[in-house]
Amino acid sequence: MKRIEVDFVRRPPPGRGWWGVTVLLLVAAVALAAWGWTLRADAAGVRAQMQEWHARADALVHQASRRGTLAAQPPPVYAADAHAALRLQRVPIDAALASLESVATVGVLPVSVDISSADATVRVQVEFSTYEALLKYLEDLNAGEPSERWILATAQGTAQGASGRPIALIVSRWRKLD
Amino acid sequence: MSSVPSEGAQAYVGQRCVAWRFGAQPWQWQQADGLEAAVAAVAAALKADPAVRKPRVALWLAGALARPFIVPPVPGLRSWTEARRLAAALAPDETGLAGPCEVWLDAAPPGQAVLGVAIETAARETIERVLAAQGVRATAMQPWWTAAIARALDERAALSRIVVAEPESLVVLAGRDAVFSAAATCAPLPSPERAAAWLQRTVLSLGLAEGDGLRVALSSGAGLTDAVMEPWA
Repeated sequence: MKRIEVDFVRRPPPGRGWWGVTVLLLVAAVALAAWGWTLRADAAGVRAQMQEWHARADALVHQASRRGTLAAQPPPVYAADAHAALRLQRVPIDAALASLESVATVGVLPVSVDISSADATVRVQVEFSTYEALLKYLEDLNAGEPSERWILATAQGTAQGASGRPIALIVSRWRKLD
Repeated sequence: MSSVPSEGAQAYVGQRCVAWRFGAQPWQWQQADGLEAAVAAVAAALKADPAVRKPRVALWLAGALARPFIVPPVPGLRSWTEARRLAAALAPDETGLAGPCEVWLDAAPPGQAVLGVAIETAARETIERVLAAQGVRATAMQPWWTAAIARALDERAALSRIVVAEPESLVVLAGRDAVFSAAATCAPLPSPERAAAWLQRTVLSLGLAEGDGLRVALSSGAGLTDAVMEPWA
Protein backbone atom coordinates (compact mmCIF):
# COMPACT_ATOMS: atom_id res chain seq x y z
CA MET A 1 0.00 0.00 0.00
CA LYS A 2 1.15 3.52 -0.60
CA ARG A 3 0.10 7.12 -0.18
CA ILE A 4 -2.41 8.45 -2.70
CA GLU A 5 -2.17 12.02 -3.93
CA VAL A 6 -5.65 12.74 -5.25
CA ASP A 7 -6.89 16.29 -5.75
CA PHE A 8 -10.02 17.10 -7.69
CA VAL A 9 -9.73 20.84 -7.34
CA ARG A 10 -9.83 22.68 -10.62
CA ARG A 11 -7.19 25.34 -10.77
CA PRO A 12 -8.51 28.71 -11.91
CA PRO A 13 -7.39 29.82 -15.36
CA PRO A 14 -4.60 32.33 -15.39
CA GLY A 15 -5.77 35.93 -15.06
CA ARG A 16 -4.87 39.02 -17.00
CA GLY A 17 -1.93 39.71 -14.73
CA TRP A 18 -0.50 36.29 -15.47
CA TRP A 19 -0.89 36.82 -19.19
CA GLY A 20 0.67 40.27 -18.88
CA VAL A 21 3.66 38.85 -17.04
CA THR A 22 3.92 36.06 -19.62
CA VAL A 23 3.86 38.52 -22.50
CA LEU A 24 6.44 40.68 -20.76
CA LEU A 25 8.68 37.66 -20.22
CA LEU A 26 8.26 36.66 -23.85
CA VAL A 27 9.13 40.16 -25.03
CA ALA A 28 12.13 40.19 -22.73
CA ALA A 29 13.21 36.80 -24.04
CA VAL A 30 12.90 37.98 -27.65
CA ALA A 31 14.81 41.16 -26.84
CA LEU A 32 17.53 39.14 -25.14
CA ALA A 33 17.72 36.80 -28.11
CA ALA A 34 17.99 39.74 -30.52
CA TRP A 35 20.66 41.35 -28.36
CA GLY A 36 22.52 38.08 -28.21
CA TRP A 37 22.30 37.80 -32.01
CA THR A 38 23.70 41.32 -32.37
CA LEU A 39 26.52 40.51 -29.98
CA ARG A 40 27.24 37.39 -31.98
CA ALA A 41 27.41 39.39 -35.19
CA ASP A 42 29.67 41.98 -33.54
CA ALA A 43 31.88 39.25 -32.17
CA ALA A 44 32.12 37.70 -35.63
CA GLY A 45 33.16 41.07 -37.06
CA VAL A 46 35.78 41.58 -34.36
CA ARG A 47 37.00 38.03 -34.92
CA ALA A 48 37.32 38.65 -38.66
CA GLN A 49 39.17 41.91 -38.03
CA MET A 50 41.53 40.18 -35.60
CA GLN A 51 42.15 37.46 -38.15
CA GLU A 52 42.93 40.13 -40.73
CA TRP A 53 45.34 41.80 -38.31
CA HIS A 54 46.96 38.47 -37.56
CA ALA A 55 47.36 37.84 -41.26
CA ARG A 56 48.93 41.26 -41.74
CA ALA A 57 51.22 40.72 -38.76
CA ASP A 58 52.24 37.34 -40.14
CA ALA A 59 52.92 38.93 -43.50
CA LEU A 60 55.08 41.61 -41.85
CA VAL A 61 56.98 39.02 -39.86
CA HIS A 62 57.49 37.00 -43.03
CA GLN A 63 58.69 40.09 -44.86
CA ALA A 64 61.07 40.96 -42.01
CA SER A 65 62.46 37.45 -42.03
CA ARG A 66 62.98 37.70 -45.77
CA ARG A 67 64.87 40.95 -45.23
CA GLY A 68 67.04 39.24 -42.66
CA THR A 69 67.71 36.49 -45.12
CA LEU A 70 68.66 39.01 -47.78
CA ALA A 71 70.99 40.81 -45.38
CA ALA A 72 72.75 37.57 -44.66
CA GLN A 73 73.47 37.13 -48.35
CA PRO A 74 76.95 38.16 -49.69
CA PRO A 75 77.17 41.82 -50.70
CA PRO A 76 77.00 42.58 -54.39
CA VAL A 77 80.09 43.36 -56.38
CA TYR A 78 79.35 47.07 -56.55
CA ALA A 79 79.00 47.32 -52.75
CA ALA A 80 82.50 48.71 -52.22
CA ASP A 81 82.04 51.48 -54.79
CA ALA A 82 78.61 52.26 -53.46
CA HIS A 83 79.94 52.54 -49.93
CA ALA A 84 82.75 54.75 -51.13
CA ALA A 85 80.29 56.97 -52.95
CA LEU A 86 78.14 57.12 -49.86
CA ARG A 87 81.09 58.05 -47.67
CA LEU A 88 82.16 60.69 -50.20
CA GLN A 89 78.66 62.06 -50.19
CA ARG A 90 78.84 62.36 -46.42
CA VAL A 91 82.02 64.49 -46.58
CA PRO A 92 81.10 68.19 -46.70
CA ILE A 93 83.24 69.02 -49.74
CA ASP A 94 81.54 72.33 -50.29
CA ALA A 95 82.32 73.47 -46.77
CA ALA A 96 85.96 72.42 -47.10
CA LEU A 97 86.39 74.13 -50.47
CA ALA A 98 84.57 77.24 -49.22
CA SER A 99 86.94 77.32 -46.29
CA LEU A 100 89.94 77.17 -48.66
CA GLU A 101 88.51 79.74 -51.05
CA SER A 102 87.73 82.20 -48.30
CA VAL A 103 91.36 82.48 -47.29
CA ALA A 104 93.95 84.23 -49.44
CA THR A 105 97.38 84.77 -47.92
CA VAL A 106 100.23 86.32 -49.72
CA GLY A 107 103.11 83.90 -50.04
CA VAL A 108 100.94 80.74 -49.81
CA LEU A 109 99.56 79.00 -52.88
CA PRO A 110 97.43 75.84 -52.80
CA VAL A 111 98.60 73.47 -55.49
CA SER A 112 96.48 70.37 -54.87
CA VAL A 113 93.46 69.25 -52.92
CA ASP A 114 92.93 65.59 -52.08
CA ILE A 115 89.61 64.60 -50.57
CA SER A 116 89.60 61.20 -48.88
CA SER A 117 86.16 59.81 -48.31
CA ALA A 118 87.46 56.86 -46.31
CA ASP A 119 88.59 58.95 -43.36
CA ALA A 120 86.72 62.17 -44.27
CA THR A 121 89.85 64.22 -44.53
CA VAL A 122 90.92 66.90 -46.90
CA ARG A 123 94.62 67.19 -47.70
CA VAL A 124 95.81 70.40 -49.19
CA GLN A 125 99.31 70.80 -50.57
CA VAL A 126 100.54 74.35 -50.62
CA GLU A 127 103.65 76.15 -51.73
CA PHE A 128 104.78 78.79 -49.32
CA SER A 129 107.35 81.50 -49.41
CA THR A 130 108.04 81.78 -45.71
CA TYR A 131 107.07 79.85 -42.61
CA GLU A 132 105.48 82.99 -41.29
CA ALA A 133 103.15 83.17 -44.30
CA LEU A 134 102.35 79.45 -43.87
CA LEU A 135 101.42 79.91 -40.22
CA LYS A 136 99.39 83.00 -41.14
CA TYR A 137 97.54 80.86 -43.71
CA LEU A 138 96.75 78.22 -41.07
CA GLU A 139 95.49 80.83 -38.65
CA ASP A 140 93.21 82.27 -41.32
CA LEU A 141 91.85 78.84 -42.15
CA ASN A 142 91.11 78.04 -38.50
CA ALA A 143 89.71 81.45 -37.72
CA GLY A 144 86.31 81.09 -36.08
CA GLU A 145 86.55 77.32 -35.69
CA PRO A 146 85.90 75.95 -32.19
CA SER A 147 89.00 73.80 -32.58
CA GLU A 148 91.84 73.75 -35.03
CA ARG A 149 90.33 71.92 -37.96
CA TRP A 150 93.25 72.51 -40.23
CA ILE A 151 96.60 71.29 -39.02
CA LEU A 152 100.00 71.30 -40.54
CA ALA A 153 101.00 67.77 -41.36
CA THR A 154 104.33 68.35 -43.04
CA ALA A 155 106.37 71.36 -44.08
CA GLN A 156 109.47 70.57 -45.97
CA GLY A 157 111.67 73.42 -46.96
CA THR A 158 113.91 71.14 -49.02
CA ALA A 159 111.16 69.52 -51.01
CA GLN A 160 110.34 72.13 -53.57
CA GLY A 161 107.37 72.38 -55.84
CA ALA A 162 107.06 73.25 -59.48
CA SER A 163 107.76 76.93 -58.71
CA GLY A 164 110.80 76.12 -56.66
CA ARG A 165 109.14 77.09 -53.36
CA PRO A 166 108.92 74.77 -50.31
CA ILE A 167 105.84 72.57 -50.00
CA ALA A 168 103.66 71.95 -47.00
CA LEU A 169 100.78 69.54 -46.41
CA ILE A 170 97.75 70.80 -44.50
CA VAL A 171 95.17 68.30 -43.34
CA SER A 172 91.67 68.84 -42.07
CA ARG A 173 89.20 66.26 -40.68
CA TRP A 174 85.48 66.74 -41.34
CA ARG A 175 83.97 63.79 -39.51
CA LYS A 176 82.55 65.99 -36.74
CA LEU A 177 80.36 67.84 -39.22
CA ASP A 178 78.26 64.73 -39.81
CA MET B 1 -9.33 43.10 15.07
CA SER B 2 -6.63 42.19 12.63
CA SER B 3 -7.71 40.57 9.38
CA VAL B 4 -5.93 37.39 8.37
CA PRO B 5 -6.13 35.17 5.31
CA SER B 6 -7.87 31.84 5.69
CA GLU B 7 -5.10 29.57 4.46
CA GLY B 8 -5.68 27.33 7.47
CA ALA B 9 -9.39 26.79 6.80
CA GLN B 10 -10.40 23.15 6.30
CA ALA B 11 -13.75 21.49 5.83
CA TYR B 12 -15.03 17.93 5.70
CA VAL B 13 -17.92 17.65 3.29
CA GLY B 14 -20.41 14.81 2.99
CA GLN B 15 -23.99 14.30 1.90
CA ARG B 16 -25.51 14.38 5.36
CA CYS B 17 -22.89 16.02 7.54
CA VAL B 18 -20.27 18.72 7.31
CA ALA B 19 -17.45 19.91 9.54
CA TRP B 20 -15.05 22.83 9.38
CA ARG B 21 -12.21 24.39 11.26
CA PHE B 22 -10.66 27.82 10.68
CA GLY B 23 -7.10 28.13 11.84
CA ALA B 24 -6.56 26.67 15.28
CA GLN B 25 -10.25 26.65 16.22
CA PRO B 26 -11.89 23.33 17.13
CA TRP B 27 -13.81 21.40 14.49
CA GLN B 28 -17.46 22.42 14.08
CA TRP B 29 -19.82 19.63 12.97
CA GLN B 30 -23.24 20.16 11.50
CA GLN B 31 -25.92 17.97 9.96
CA ALA B 32 -26.70 18.74 6.33
CA ASP B 33 -29.48 17.95 3.92
CA GLY B 34 -27.51 17.11 0.86
CA LEU B 35 -24.18 18.17 -0.60
CA GLU B 36 -25.27 21.65 -1.66
CA ALA B 37 -26.45 22.51 1.83
CA ALA B 38 -23.25 21.16 3.34
CA VAL B 39 -21.02 23.26 1.11
CA ALA B 40 -23.21 26.31 1.64
CA ALA B 41 -22.88 25.90 5.39
CA VAL B 42 -19.10 25.86 5.13
CA ALA B 43 -19.06 28.91 2.86
CA ALA B 44 -21.44 30.83 5.10
CA ALA B 45 -19.37 30.06 8.18
CA LEU B 46 -16.21 31.15 6.41
CA LYS B 47 -17.78 34.39 5.21
CA ALA B 48 -19.21 35.08 8.65
CA ASP B 49 -15.81 34.98 10.28
CA PRO B 50 -14.69 38.61 10.51
CA ALA B 51 -11.05 37.55 10.77
CA VAL B 52 -11.10 36.03 7.28
CA ARG B 53 -9.86 38.39 4.59
CA LYS B 54 -9.53 36.03 1.60
CA PRO B 55 -12.00 33.13 1.97
CA ARG B 56 -10.21 29.98 0.92
CA VAL B 57 -10.82 26.48 2.14
CA ALA B 58 -9.24 23.06 1.69
CA LEU B 59 -11.98 20.49 1.27
CA TRP B 60 -11.87 16.91 2.53
CA LEU B 61 -14.39 14.81 0.67
CA ALA B 62 -16.32 12.09 2.44
CA GLY B 63 -15.90 8.54 1.23
CA ALA B 64 -19.41 8.61 -0.13
CA LEU B 65 -18.42 11.38 -2.56
CA ALA B 66 -15.01 10.20 -3.74
CA ARG B 67 -14.81 6.43 -4.03
CA PRO B 68 -11.88 4.18 -4.88
CA PHE B 69 -12.07 1.34 -7.36
CA ILE B 70 -9.76 -0.97 -9.24
CA VAL B 71 -9.37 -0.52 -13.00
CA PRO B 72 -8.44 -3.89 -14.50
CA PRO B 73 -5.72 -4.06 -17.13
CA VAL B 74 -7.17 -3.64 -20.60
CA PRO B 75 -5.04 -4.65 -23.58
CA GLY B 76 -4.99 -2.31 -26.55
CA LEU B 77 -5.02 0.98 -24.66
CA ARG B 78 -2.71 3.35 -26.48
CA SER B 79 -2.63 6.40 -24.28
CA TRP B 80 -3.24 7.69 -20.81
CA THR B 81 -6.26 9.62 -22.07
CA GLU B 82 -7.84 6.40 -23.30
CA ALA B 83 -7.18 4.77 -19.94
CA ARG B 84 -8.86 7.66 -18.12
CA ARG B 85 -11.86 7.54 -20.45
CA LEU B 86 -12.20 3.82 -19.85
CA ALA B 87 -11.94 4.30 -16.08
CA ALA B 88 -14.54 7.08 -16.18
CA ALA B 89 -16.87 4.75 -18.07
CA LEU B 90 -16.30 1.96 -15.55
CA ALA B 91 -16.59 4.18 -12.47
CA PRO B 92 -20.40 4.26 -12.01
CA ASP B 93 -20.69 0.47 -12.11
CA GLU B 94 -17.60 -0.12 -10.01
CA THR B 95 -18.34 2.48 -7.31
CA GLY B 96 -22.10 2.78 -7.22
CA LEU B 97 -21.97 6.47 -8.08
CA ALA B 98 -24.77 7.77 -10.26
CA GLY B 99 -24.20 9.63 -13.47
CA PRO B 100 -21.03 10.70 -15.23
CA CYS B 101 -17.86 10.64 -13.15
CA GLU B 102 -14.49 12.27 -13.18
CA VAL B 103 -11.66 9.91 -12.39
CA TRP B 104 -8.18 10.18 -11.00
CA LEU B 105 -5.90 7.29 -11.96
CA ASP B 106 -2.86 6.12 -10.07
CA ALA B 107 0.37 5.50 -11.90
CA ALA B 108 1.00 1.84 -12.60
CA PRO B 109 3.10 -0.23 -14.97
CA PRO B 110 1.37 -1.34 -18.18
CA GLY B 111 -0.58 -4.57 -17.91
CA GLN B 112 -1.35 -4.19 -14.19
CA ALA B 113 -4.50 -3.26 -12.35
CA VAL B 114 -4.51 0.36 -11.23
CA LEU B 115 -6.30 2.25 -8.50
CA GLY B 116 -8.84 4.85 -9.58
CA VAL B 117 -10.78 7.40 -7.57
CA ALA B 118 -14.09 8.64 -8.89
CA ILE B 119 -16.31 11.59 -8.09
CA GLU B 120 -19.60 12.42 -9.72
CA THR B 121 -19.19 15.30 -12.11
CA ALA B 122 -22.41 16.78 -10.78
CA ALA B 123 -21.09 16.65 -7.19
CA ARG B 124 -17.91 18.43 -8.11
CA GLU B 125 -19.76 21.08 -10.06
CA THR B 126 -22.13 21.59 -7.15
CA ILE B 127 -19.24 22.18 -4.79
CA GLU B 128 -17.59 24.65 -7.16
CA ARG B 129 -20.83 26.47 -7.90
CA VAL B 130 -21.84 26.95 -4.28
CA LEU B 131 -18.38 28.10 -3.25
CA ALA B 132 -18.15 30.49 -6.17
CA ALA B 133 -21.53 31.97 -5.33
CA GLN B 134 -20.22 32.80 -1.88
CA GLY B 135 -16.90 34.09 -3.18
CA VAL B 136 -15.00 31.23 -1.60
CA ARG B 137 -12.17 29.46 -3.38
CA ALA B 138 -11.29 25.81 -2.83
CA THR B 139 -7.55 25.28 -2.54
CA ALA B 140 -7.83 21.48 -2.42
CA MET B 141 -10.46 18.80 -2.90
CA GLN B 142 -9.18 15.46 -1.61
CA PRO B 143 -10.84 12.33 -0.26
CA TRP B 144 -10.38 12.20 3.49
CA TRP B 145 -9.62 8.47 3.39
CA THR B 146 -6.37 9.27 1.53
CA ALA B 147 -5.26 11.25 4.58
CA ALA B 148 -6.28 8.31 6.77
CA ILE B 149 -4.15 5.95 4.67
CA ALA B 150 -1.17 8.30 4.87
CA ARG B 151 -1.49 8.47 8.65
CA ALA B 152 -1.89 4.70 8.89
CA LEU B 153 1.24 4.16 6.80
CA ASP B 154 3.11 6.45 9.19
CA GLU B 155 2.07 4.04 11.95
CA ARG B 156 2.55 0.80 10.01
CA ALA B 157 4.70 0.86 6.90
CA ALA B 158 3.87 -2.78 6.13
CA LEU B 159 0.15 -2.12 6.07
CA SER B 160 -1.62 -4.28 3.47
CA ARG B 161 -5.31 -3.67 4.14
CA ILE B 162 -7.32 -0.88 5.70
CA VAL B 163 -10.92 -0.05 6.38
CA VAL B 164 -11.81 3.61 6.84
CA ALA B 165 -15.06 4.15 8.68
CA GLU B 166 -16.58 7.60 8.19
CA PRO B 167 -19.90 8.94 9.45
CA GLU B 168 -21.64 8.03 6.20
CA SER B 169 -19.44 5.44 4.47
CA LEU B 170 -17.00 2.55 4.75
CA VAL B 171 -13.99 2.43 2.45
CA VAL B 172 -11.89 -0.71 2.11
CA LEU B 173 -8.53 -0.82 0.37
CA ALA B 174 -5.99 -3.61 0.11
CA GLY B 175 -2.67 -4.00 -1.59
CA ARG B 176 0.96 -4.91 -1.18
CA ASP B 177 3.99 -2.77 -1.79
CA ALA B 178 2.89 0.03 -4.13
CA VAL B 179 0.13 -1.88 -5.90
CA PHE B 180 -3.51 -1.81 -4.86
CA SER B 181 -5.39 -5.03 -5.47
CA ALA B 182 -8.85 -4.39 -4.02
CA ALA B 183 -11.11 -1.43 -3.25
CA ALA B 184 -14.71 -1.17 -2.16
CA THR B 185 -17.05 1.48 -0.75
CA CYS B 186 -20.20 1.08 1.24
CA ALA B 187 -22.33 4.21 1.06
CA PRO B 188 -24.72 5.33 2.33
CA LEU B 189 -23.84 3.65 5.55
CA PRO B 190 -26.49 1.13 6.64
CA SER B 191 -27.15 0.06 10.20
CA PRO B 192 -24.10 -1.14 12.15
CA GLU B 193 -25.18 -4.78 11.80
CA ARG B 194 -25.63 -4.48 8.05
CA ALA B 195 -22.35 -2.56 7.76
CA ALA B 196 -20.54 -5.32 9.63
CA ALA B 197 -22.13 -7.91 7.34
CA TRP B 198 -21.08 -5.95 4.25
CA LEU B 199 -17.53 -5.71 5.55
CA GLN B 200 -17.37 -9.43 6.28
CA ARG B 201 -18.74 -10.24 2.84
CA THR B 202 -16.25 -7.89 1.20
CA VAL B 203 -13.34 -9.41 3.06
CA LEU B 204 -14.35 -12.87 1.93
CA SER B 205 -15.14 -11.95 -1.66
CA LEU B 206 -11.97 -9.91 -2.17
CA GLY B 207 -9.76 -12.29 -0.22
CA LEU B 208 -8.68 -9.72 2.35
CA ALA B 209 -8.55 -11.98 5.41
CA GLU B 210 -4.77 -12.15 5.48
CA GLY B 211 -2.23 -9.43 6.11
CA ASP B 212 -1.51 -6.53 8.39
CA GLY B 213 -4.78 -4.63 8.69
CA LEU B 214 -5.87 -1.41 10.32
CA ARG B 215 -9.26 0.14 10.99
CA VAL B 216 -9.53 3.93 11.09
CA ALA B 217 -12.74 5.34 12.46
CA LEU B 218 -13.84 8.96 12.17
CA SER B 219 -16.82 9.91 14.26
CA SER B 220 -18.99 12.99 14.15
CA GLY B 221 -17.93 15.61 16.63
CA ALA B 222 -14.27 14.64 16.63
CA GLY B 223 -11.42 16.31 14.85
CA LEU B 224 -10.22 14.81 11.57
CA THR B 225 -6.83 14.16 13.11
CA ASP B 226 -8.43 12.47 16.08
CA ALA B 227 -9.66 9.46 14.13
CA VAL B 228 -9.29 6.23 16.06
CA MET B 229 -6.90 3.65 14.66
CA GLU B 230 -7.07 0.04 15.78
CA PRO B 231 -5.93 -3.28 14.35
CA TRP B 232 -8.26 -4.89 11.87
CA ALA B 233 -8.39 -8.57 12.58
